[in-house]
Amino acid sequence: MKTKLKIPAILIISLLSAANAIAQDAIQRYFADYADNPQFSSVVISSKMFQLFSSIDPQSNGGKEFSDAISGIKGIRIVASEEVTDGKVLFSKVNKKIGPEYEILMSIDEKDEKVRFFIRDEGPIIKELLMLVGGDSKIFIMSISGDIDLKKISALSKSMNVGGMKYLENLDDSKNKK
Amino acid sequence: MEPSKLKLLEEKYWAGETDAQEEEQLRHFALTEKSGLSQEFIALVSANIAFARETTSAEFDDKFWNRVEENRNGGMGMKWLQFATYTKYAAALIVLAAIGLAIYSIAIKSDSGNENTIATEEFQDTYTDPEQAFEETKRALLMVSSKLNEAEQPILELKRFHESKMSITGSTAVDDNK
Repeated sequence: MKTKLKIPAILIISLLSAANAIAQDAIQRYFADYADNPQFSSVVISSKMFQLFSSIDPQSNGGKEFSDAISGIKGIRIVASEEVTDGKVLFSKVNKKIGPEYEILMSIDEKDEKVRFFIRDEGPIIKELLMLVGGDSKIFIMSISGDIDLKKISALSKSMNVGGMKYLENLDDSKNKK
Repeated sequence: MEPSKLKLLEEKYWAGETDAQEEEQLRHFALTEKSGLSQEFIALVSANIAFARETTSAEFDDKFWNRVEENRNGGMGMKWLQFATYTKYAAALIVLAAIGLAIYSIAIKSDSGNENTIATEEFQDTYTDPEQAFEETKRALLMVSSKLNEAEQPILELKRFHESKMSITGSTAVDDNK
C-alpha cells in the first residue's frame, strides 16, 4: 500500500476504534471475560428494554421516584459471582483494571466487604456509574449507562425505606446465568 | 561568379567564417545559378526560405493563436491536467466523508433511543419480559442507592460533629468575650 493511502487508512481505523471504545461500558471494556465465565452470573438490561418500561404503570411499580431515577438510564450490565476463591484479591485485580477515564466517587471499606463507586462523565453529565463490591468469596460489578442523576438514585432507598440490601440474593442464578 | 569561387565561399560558410554580405551572395546564387554549390547547401537555403515565409505570413499568427485558444478551452492535454488536479481534492473529500459517516453512524448508535446504548455487539437482554427486567432494574438501583447512602452516613456524622464542635467553640468564644 502506498504511504499516501496508509495515512488515511490508519486515521480511519483509529477513529473508528476510539468511537467504538466510547460506545462501550466498563464491563465490555475491561470485564468481558467475566461475563463469558460460567462461574459468573450476568444480567443485561438494554436501552430497548428501558423503552418498554414506559408501558409499565409507575404507581404500582415503585412510584414517581423510581420513574424519575430511571429516566435517562439507557442500560444496566451486571456480572457477579459468589463462588470466587479469593474475593478480596479479585476485587483488587478488578480495581486495577479500571482505566483513567473513570474517576472514583466513593469508597466503603468494611470488615467483610469493600465497595467502590466510579463515574465516567462528559462535562457536567455523568454518563456511566460503575459499582464494584468485593467480599471473601464474592465479587459484584455493575455498570449503569446513560444520563445519570445520582441525587435521584440516592433518594430512592430513602423514599422506599430500604437499607442494607443483600444484592447477591437478587440475582436469580437459574434464570440469569448465560 | 565562377563555380570554383562559389565552392570556396561555401566551404568558408560551413567553417563559419563568412560575413553577412558573403552569405547574401551565397543565398542569391543558390536560388539562381546553383552551379558550384552542393545540394546540401541549396536544400538548406530552400528550407530557410520556406520557414521564413511560413513564420512571417499572416496565417501563421492566426494558426498560433487558434492553437493557444484551443488549449485554454480544454484541449486533451489541458483536460487531463485539470482532471489530475481535481482528483486529489476529490479523494480527500471522499476520505473525509467516509470518516464523518463512520463517526456519525456510531454516534447515532450510541445516542439513539432505538439502538442499544452501552453495547455495540452481543448485547442481548437477559429478560424478555419487561416486568421482570423492571424488577431487576429496581433491585439494582435500590442497591446502588442504599450503598450510596451507606457511604454518605459517615460524612453526615462528621458534618454533624463539625457543626456541634463549631457551635461549642462559638459559644465558648462568646463566653470568653464576656
